[in-house]
Amino acid sequence: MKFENLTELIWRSLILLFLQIFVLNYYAWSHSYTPFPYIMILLLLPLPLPWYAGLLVGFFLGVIEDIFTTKQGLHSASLTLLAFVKPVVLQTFSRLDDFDDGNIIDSRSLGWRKWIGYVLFMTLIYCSVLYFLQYFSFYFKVVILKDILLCTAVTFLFILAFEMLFQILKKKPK
Amino acid sequence: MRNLWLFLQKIRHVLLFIFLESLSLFMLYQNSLYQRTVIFNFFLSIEGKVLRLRESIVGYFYLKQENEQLKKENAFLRSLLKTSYLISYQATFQKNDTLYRQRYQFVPATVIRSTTQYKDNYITIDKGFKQGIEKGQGVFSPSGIVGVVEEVTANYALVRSFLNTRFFVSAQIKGKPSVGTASWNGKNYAYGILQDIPLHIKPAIGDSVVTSPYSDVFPAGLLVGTIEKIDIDESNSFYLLELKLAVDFGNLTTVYVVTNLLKEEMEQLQKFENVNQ
Repeated sequence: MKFENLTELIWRSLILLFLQIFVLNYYAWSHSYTPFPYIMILLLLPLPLPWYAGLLVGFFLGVIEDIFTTKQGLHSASLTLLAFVKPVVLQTFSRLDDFDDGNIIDSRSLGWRKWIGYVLFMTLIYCSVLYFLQYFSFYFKVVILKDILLCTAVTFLFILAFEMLFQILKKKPK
Repeated sequence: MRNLWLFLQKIRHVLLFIFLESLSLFMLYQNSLYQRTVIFNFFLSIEGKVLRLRESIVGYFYLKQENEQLKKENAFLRSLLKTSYLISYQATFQKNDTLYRQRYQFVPATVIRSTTQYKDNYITIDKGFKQGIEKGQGVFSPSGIVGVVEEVTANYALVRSFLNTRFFVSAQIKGKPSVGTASWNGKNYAYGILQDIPLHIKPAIGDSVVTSPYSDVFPAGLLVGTIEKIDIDESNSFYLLELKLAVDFGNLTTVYVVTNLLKEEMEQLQKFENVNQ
């Protein structure tokens, strides 16, 4: 991975984590749905990486979120699964050869259309696992489905907003 | 060994995922009461199903003991029925202040021999005077009346079956104010007859015939059979009703011997009546 990609990844991750832990964890849209744009950190991770990197980053990112939400195991389980399926999902939206240069996976490297599809799908997976683990039952099918869809929508909107902001900041002349 | 190592290398990504996911789920289980309860209940339901299956297999081997216990329990419960008691007025009862006095007791027994093909049929049961069985006691099964004890030895008793031309029992049509005599017609082991029902009583096919309160051997209300055919007897004064017997005498296993605790008292009164006539 190139040095500039690494620095960009680090500062984006820190901002997202800071916002998630200190701001968004205390906000709930419609008093029910907390947005989770911090998952973008995992989505940004470039390919190729050491085989263990994605899983470990996902796991520890989840653990950090768990610590600040006092729901041990919930976010780490969801993000670990997300990290596991990420290569497979990326393959459906793009060729893995396209990422050999080590760039972070954002809207610039993927193109807006593919990036939106990729992020939306990954967010849906994350919210599905999260709510299933919270309810731990398929009994309330309609309620769970509604929660998953609304959480996905809210999270995706925040991720989209952050991505647009980051792109604007990157284009700003120094 | 080398192949195993190569295989593990190939799936290392999956192994690490399984490990991290399990760790996360373990943390969730440890720290969340709701998830712990759901998991616990899930495994409890599986355990319940497995145990039920085991019980259905193992329980089969304990059926004999279970049966014996149920027979004893049945006998005890029957003795608690209101029909097993005689209601007595407080004014004539000085020692006890209870309204009910126990009238009947029941002893469970198993039929070890039963005949149906003779004119006078008998049943042998596995209880005798050591178990409290006496001559003249009534015998019935869960389906209905069976007979009366005729002879008793230490551990066995000979019962004069309903299917015996010398057997008679006071019976009535359920719900109708009439008392007649039920007996066997001597022909078919599944059918009996009820006589002495006056013509003003309107019996119907399908009506139940039960023991009457005038029987000093059987509690009232024990099923004898159901009316199958209605005829009038030779004297043209009474009905001759053919009954489909409630008890299947060809397939008799469990019976109860009923002791009328007040029978002696009634017999003494009967003697007094006979002396004065």
